[in-house]
Amino acid sequence: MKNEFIEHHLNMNRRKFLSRLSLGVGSIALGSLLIPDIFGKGGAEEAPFIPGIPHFAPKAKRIIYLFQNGAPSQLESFDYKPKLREMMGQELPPSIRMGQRLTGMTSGQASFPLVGSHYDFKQYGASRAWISDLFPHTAKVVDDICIVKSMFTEAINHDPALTFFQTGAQQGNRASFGSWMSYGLGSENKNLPAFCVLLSRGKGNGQGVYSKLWSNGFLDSIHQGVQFSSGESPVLYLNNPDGIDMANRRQMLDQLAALNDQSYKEFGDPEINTKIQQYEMAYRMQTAVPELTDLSKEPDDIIKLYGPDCLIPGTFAANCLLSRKLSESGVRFIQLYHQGWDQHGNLPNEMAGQAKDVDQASAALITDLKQRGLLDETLVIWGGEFGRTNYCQGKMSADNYGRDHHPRCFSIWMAGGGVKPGIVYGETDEFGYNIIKDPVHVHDFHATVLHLMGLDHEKLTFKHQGRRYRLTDVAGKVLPGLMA
Amino acid sequence: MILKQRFRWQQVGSSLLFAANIFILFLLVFSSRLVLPPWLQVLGRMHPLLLHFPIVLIIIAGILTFIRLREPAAESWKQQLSAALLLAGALSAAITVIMGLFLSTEDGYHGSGELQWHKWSGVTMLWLASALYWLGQSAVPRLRWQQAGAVITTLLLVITGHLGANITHGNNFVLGPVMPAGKPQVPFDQALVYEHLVKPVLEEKCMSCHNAGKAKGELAMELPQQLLKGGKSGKLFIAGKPELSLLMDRLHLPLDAKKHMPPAGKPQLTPEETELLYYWIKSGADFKTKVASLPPQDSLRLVAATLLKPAAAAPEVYDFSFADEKLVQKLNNNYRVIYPIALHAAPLVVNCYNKDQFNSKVIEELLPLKKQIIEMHLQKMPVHDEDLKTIARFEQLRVLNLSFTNVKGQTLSALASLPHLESLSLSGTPVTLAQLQALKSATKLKELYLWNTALSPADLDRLQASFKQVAVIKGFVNDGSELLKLNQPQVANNVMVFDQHMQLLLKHPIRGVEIRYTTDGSMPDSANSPVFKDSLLLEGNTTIRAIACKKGWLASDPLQVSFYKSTYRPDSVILLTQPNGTYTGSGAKTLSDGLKGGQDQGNGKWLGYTGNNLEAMLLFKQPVSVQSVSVGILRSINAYIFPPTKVEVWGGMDARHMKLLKRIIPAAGQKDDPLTAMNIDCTFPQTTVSCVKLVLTPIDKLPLWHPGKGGHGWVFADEVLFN
Repeated sequence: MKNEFIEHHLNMNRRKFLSRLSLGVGSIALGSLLIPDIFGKGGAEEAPFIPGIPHFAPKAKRIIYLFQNGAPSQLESFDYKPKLREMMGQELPPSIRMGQRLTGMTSGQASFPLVGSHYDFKQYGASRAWISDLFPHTAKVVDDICIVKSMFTEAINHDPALTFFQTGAQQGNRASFGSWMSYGLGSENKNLPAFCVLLSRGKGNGQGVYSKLWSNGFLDSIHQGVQFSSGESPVLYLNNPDGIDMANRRQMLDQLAALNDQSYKEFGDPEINTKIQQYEMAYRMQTAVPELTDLSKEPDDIIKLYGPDCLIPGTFAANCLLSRKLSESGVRFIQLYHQGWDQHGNLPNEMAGQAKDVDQASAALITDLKQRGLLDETLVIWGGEFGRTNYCQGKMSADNYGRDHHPRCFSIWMAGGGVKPGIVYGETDEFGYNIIKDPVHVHDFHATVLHLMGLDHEKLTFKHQGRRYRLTDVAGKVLPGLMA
Repeated sequence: MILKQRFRWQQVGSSLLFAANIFILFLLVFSSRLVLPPWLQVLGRMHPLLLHFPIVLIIIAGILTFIRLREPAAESWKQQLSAALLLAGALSAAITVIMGLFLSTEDGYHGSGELQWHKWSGVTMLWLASALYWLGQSAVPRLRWQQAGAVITTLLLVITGHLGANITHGNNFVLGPVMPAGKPQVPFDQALVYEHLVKPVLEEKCMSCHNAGKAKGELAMELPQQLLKGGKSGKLFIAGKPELSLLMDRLHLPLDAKKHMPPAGKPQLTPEETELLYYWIKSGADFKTKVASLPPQDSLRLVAATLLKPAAAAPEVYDFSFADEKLVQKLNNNYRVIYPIALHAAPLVVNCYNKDQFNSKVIEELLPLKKQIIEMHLQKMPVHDEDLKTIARFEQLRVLNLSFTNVKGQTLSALASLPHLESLSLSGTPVTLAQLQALKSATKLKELYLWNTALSPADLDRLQASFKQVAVIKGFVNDGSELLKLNQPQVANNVMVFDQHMQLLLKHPIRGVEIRYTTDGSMPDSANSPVFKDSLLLEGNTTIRAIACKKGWLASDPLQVSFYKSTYRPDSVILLTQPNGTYTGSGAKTLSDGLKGGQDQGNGKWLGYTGNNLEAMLLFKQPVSVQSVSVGILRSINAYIFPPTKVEVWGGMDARHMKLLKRIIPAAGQKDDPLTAMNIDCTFPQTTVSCVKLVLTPIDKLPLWHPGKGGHGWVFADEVLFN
């Protein structure tokens, strides 16, 4: 027995150990042959991203985003809270507020009296969705839209909230939603920019919009949003100056391109190539845009559908009609901003005016896209950057009150392009203050919209300053409940 | 000698096994970064072939550890054999594992939970088998350990094998034939609330504990009478009163409560299912009710409808080959865009842009891609009837958009032969009912867009009736029932101040609108007021009111604009005091540019002063004879903008010889004064001047009734008129 122990120990001598070790090292060496970048950067490298083609078959090809800048009140539009009328003037219970921070505008307010909607609500469509009397036209298309009552955001003031919604971060300097879309999917129609911006403003108390909201951020500047003028001619300086014809123009551009190309070869700055491409596109826009922005050939019924304002440049209705035409011509992302929704006071009056500005044209856009067979492939989004408080800001009277900013819940709607039509998604408590079912964070919203466009929000990345950036930063989940 | 040799072979094998284990460990650590050459992929794909060796070898070796032979020589030989079999088994297992790891890097295996279980149980099994072998080689045989190890290894082997089979053949491949098939879809009009909705929920979530055999809490839920009877804690529910029912109570308890049902850790009811039970009890918990017999807006019916809705259709799988990439590239240009529906997908989508670039050839050239093109978007292109015959050859077309093309519909029948056509848009084309009937044979057609065609609403209804499977989209029909108000007419002139006379131009963006107007201050109406034609000559100060009228629309709100005559226009203006930085208008020339500021102080057409006077010098190259100077001001009490407290007009032949021509103290602003842009007229005996100085003093202290009481007020001015 003892001998066997000795023999066993002799089996495991230094020579044996070393030969075993060599075997182990050898097998690792063999394995390393299968890993080309064994000494590389490490981590799970994703497959190289090919911009311009969706990752999987998309439900929607284009987006029209009707941004309601200033934050329309959900409590006078889509989130029906009869309880607030019952409790009119009573204090907001602290158990509901749960330490929610306030803006500088109401932080000094001694009391927070609840205030119900000045406007009545009715139920519409197969989903029996509650919609306020301020939005009669939207109510007519309720079976085509998906009302999300459980949006929430992190910011409480306009600029950060708007920037967050439009770029996925509150701080700015990131690429905007439309730029990501242009980067990820490219332009459908090479004669028009992939990302267009249209502005309008209502009479209500407004907040400005800034060009950083449609900035390309760190992405190539070809992905920047192109702001259309709200005057008579949406794109300025399209016509050739007197004495220059198309042939001259072509020759000039060719010469210019040759010079630019030369300096590209010298310096290698990719922005030079971008510039060449932009000149080329502008040349093609000279023929594409006049046809597009000519509203005079629209059938009479269209004017009735969108309302008479649709022929007055710079109105929301005109922008809706123009956005339909742009979308029809393959513009990926059309961003509208309608300003004037910041009702800190005088809400019943101002909100009525704002709603009148946008209600008919928003609904018309849905109907119009649908009747042309385009709603299936176009995603329409309507909503602001946050909601408004269930309590009154400032003086409250029987028919006048104001509401402050409220990030914890607000309502938006989406339609077309793979969104489940005719549903109401999410639910808020009876005070309209907190979400009780199916919350939708801004990141989730972005992830879901990207998914509808055939993009995986985790794969749509751009490397900048040593890290990979996403529209959804490091968060966001796709919400199947919103998708058809 | 033979024994010695066998010993040598075992040495080699054992070393190989050691090396293979290290190799596997390495692969596992770096599994996410593996990049395999194709020939190794081939090896990997042999995984399902090779895996049979370890199964057989290890099981036999395992069985041998339980067999004892009486003959010592035979026993020793058996042990040798067992060790050799175990080594061969472990080695083949190691190779199988390596191949499996290779195989798992291929597409289609990522993220599957089953794969992870299979991988780790396989690797564990290999390590156990290796350990077992080395245990057998150690000096002291530990038979019990070996036997126990053999049993565990074999068990793991079976589990690994089963998981692997699931990955290859799909779940429940073995028991599939004897398992009951998934629940059959019940048509809506036949569904019973209890039988087809409530019972399946109970079956799935409750009956595993509450059945006749188990009956926890003395409750069984299999039969209606058992449900009615209840259990130990009493009746399960009170029909019509869900809020008093034990069942709902238990469902709604917090998940960590002891009495919450189903118990924590078991699958919970979805909110829809809870809702269903609630409404079922509320409606009286009947066992025979049909879903279809419930009233249309009944909550139970709505919940039932969502639950009965068939699951979303699986995404379509396209089985055709890829198009030649070079050809696609060649055919792609700025006006005809062809792109795949997704990365690495064969189906193609075509969009055409720009009318002028389109002709029949644009479609014909695409014919080589007819096996791949599934969508064609030709809206607004000059597509003609003859082109439809070409389009009909694109056999894979699913979506075809021909809205607002030049299609007349004569050859529409050609499209009926497209076997996959699902969506066809013909909006804005003059197609007729008869032509559309030809599409009846397009069996896959689901959507037909026919807005703005030659079809009357009745035609569309008839068409919808005969196309049962197709959604006929009619779009917006203007039946005149909804009267909208027109918007106001617009002034086309850029200036509102003229010297002698001016041609007033009014316009309206909507075709066929009639503009009616008055100049006497009365309200225009759509019947009697004069109709505006081309232009209107203005010769003096005029306030015009105009409305827009059109049949089928409500008349607009009246537009009210004033035009002013200013016989002389100063040649230059110098501001002696500077306006507030926010309201600088367009500088000094604001006062003489012929533009009125309107009613919005922030539009950049006004000069605004607060705290100091507005003092301006207006100069004429040639002396002029004036007897009135009017200054346009804004009054907006809420915005702190008041009429000036004092207006002075000085005049003379040059700046050094001026005398006061007129001083006016305008009426002070009152609390309820409406927002107005108005003129303050200063008249004086006719004087010849070439230099006029104007002084406007803003209100220094706002009155006590004003929210800004005591503070400075503002004065706003936009234009000075000389007559």
